Amino acid sequence: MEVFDSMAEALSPSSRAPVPLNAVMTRTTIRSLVGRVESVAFVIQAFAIFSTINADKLSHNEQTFMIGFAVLHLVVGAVTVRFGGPFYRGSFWPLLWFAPVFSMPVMMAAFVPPGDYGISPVCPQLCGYPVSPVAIAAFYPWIGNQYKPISLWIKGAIAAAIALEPLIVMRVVNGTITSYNVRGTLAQAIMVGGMWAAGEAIGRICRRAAASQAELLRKEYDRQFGYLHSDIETGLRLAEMGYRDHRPDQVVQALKELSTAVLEERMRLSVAQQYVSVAEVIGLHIRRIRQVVSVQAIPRVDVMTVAQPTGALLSRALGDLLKNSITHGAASVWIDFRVSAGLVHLEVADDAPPFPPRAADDPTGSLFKLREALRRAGGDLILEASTSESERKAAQVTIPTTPHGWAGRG
Amino acid sequence: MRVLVVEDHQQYAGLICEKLAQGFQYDVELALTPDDANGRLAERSYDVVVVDVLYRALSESYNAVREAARNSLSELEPYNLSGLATLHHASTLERPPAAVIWTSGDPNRALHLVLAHQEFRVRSYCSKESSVEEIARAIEAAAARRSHVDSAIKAFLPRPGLLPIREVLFGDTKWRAIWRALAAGSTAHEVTARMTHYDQGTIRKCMSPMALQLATLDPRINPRKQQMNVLSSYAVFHWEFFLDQAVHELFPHSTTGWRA
Repeated sequence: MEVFDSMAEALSPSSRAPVPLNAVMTRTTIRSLVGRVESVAFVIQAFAIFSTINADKLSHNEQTFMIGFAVLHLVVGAVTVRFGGPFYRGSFWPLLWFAPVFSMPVMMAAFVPPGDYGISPVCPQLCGYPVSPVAIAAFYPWIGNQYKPISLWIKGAIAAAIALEPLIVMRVVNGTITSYNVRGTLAQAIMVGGMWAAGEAIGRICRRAAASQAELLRKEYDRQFGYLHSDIETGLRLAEMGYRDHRPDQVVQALKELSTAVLEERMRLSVAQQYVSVAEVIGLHIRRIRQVVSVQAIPRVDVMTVAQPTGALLSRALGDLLKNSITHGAASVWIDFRVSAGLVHLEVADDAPPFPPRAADDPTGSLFKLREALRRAGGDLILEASTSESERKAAQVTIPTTPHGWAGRG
Repeated sequence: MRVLVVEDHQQYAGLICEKLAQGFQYDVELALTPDDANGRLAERSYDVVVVDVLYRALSESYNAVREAARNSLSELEPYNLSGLATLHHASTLERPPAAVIWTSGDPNRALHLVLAHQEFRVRSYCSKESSVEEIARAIEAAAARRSHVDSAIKAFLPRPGLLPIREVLFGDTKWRAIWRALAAGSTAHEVTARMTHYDQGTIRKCMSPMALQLATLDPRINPRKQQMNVLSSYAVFHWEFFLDQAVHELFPHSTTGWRA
């Protein structure tokens, strides 16, 4: 009995932690996306500072200070590549990044000659400095889940504060607000608002993409759960009942069905990978049929892989052709496989009676459906004509290594 | 005949050992880990050793070490133990036992099987679903230095004309370190350089020949595009091979890189 219990326990979903399908997954995905983007933001800030040094009237000491400040941003950008940026690291680091963003209008107002801050209607001095951190802050989900309903407001308020702060500084420093001050601040607000909207939009796209991935995974978990419940647990219980009732035939039958269910699942999973192991596909099909037919030739393909669509077609073709051999009474089969000139070649030969004429032309037959699927992918199925009952007959399959309509490469 | 079975599933392996002893009059011992097996091989002589390739508990605990390593290859030591460690140890003995590989046909063991075939001349293979009689046939074949390959495993053996893995993957000592850094999870030249102690230029120069060689092993691979991505995803998929203790002993890398 312990055997059945330990098997059921080992197969239960709780024995190994699955990937969580919630906001954590979304955040993890976006966190991995933000990685090096933050370093680019620091570089953009450094360029903004260099631009101000070039354009604005600053004293020698102020210029020296600003050059140092710009270089500091480049250094931080380089460090960020290796260790991750403020939002990637979390904790107090984002605050440390935003402190200079809020201080910059005050600093620039102090640096430029009295009355000069905000004098241009284009935008205030160093108005490009806050745009890249604002974009990152809008993109990155740094606000906890408990504040999610108001996160848009929080982010919007920060962006608004950054956009309008220069106007307040102008009022305090210059004692008045001119129309140029308003137009310049408006220009900065449009710039900051635009970057905030862009960051928010990209963030939403990423979150939606991550959520779609989570949904696909959830469906796969549901299917796995159904498989474990309907195929495995039921099989185990059947075997257990047979054991308790002293019915060895029932135990053997249940175990056979379990074995078949596991093999079918392995076959399904073997062609679900981005790249499919040819040896695994061939090995699994041989395991399925070797009790009923003798496999005389097996190709050695070691570590060769094919792209997923090719692998799926290869597995289907091999399964269909072996089934066809068995159905037509073959005692032995020979399998061959090779790759050349962008094509995968599979050959399944057997000693069953020859194919009837136009065997692949019957629309209700599996060979017809297989040939149609292969042709749609740019491949083909050719049934070798055989005149003698004793002669081996072969079915030859070709599949492009990059089937039609497949975008993956590499 | 004295037989050593190396397999981590104690209940299943114990039953197989019992049946081999009862049904075929073998003197059978069971070792649950490659370390245990190596100790036994050093103490007494065996005619045949039946070896599982991967050991789940060992691989799972090593995987945590692998995922944490980011600064140097030395963080990855000691490397993961697999059945190759037993084959390697057995090959150094004065009277090496014949070997049978007893494995499931999973693609993450494919490189192990090719290496066992090429380097340790293993010619007897049986699958995990083999019956006791089938395992006994594999043992007899190995003892008589004959070939015996389970039909479910045969596709994993090296194709005719395949170049030795020692040339294709480990032909250059720099490649060995790079493969290990990639298998540890590095996806950037900078991290690979840090882990291997080679400069980034050296890493970049190695990418093209490594990818070209890899394409001879797996023709699906395009060696001209996104070489770093191709190599790192290959290394990560086969990390149990690239970070294997026996593979490391057979193909050591320089521990000092360009600073040597």
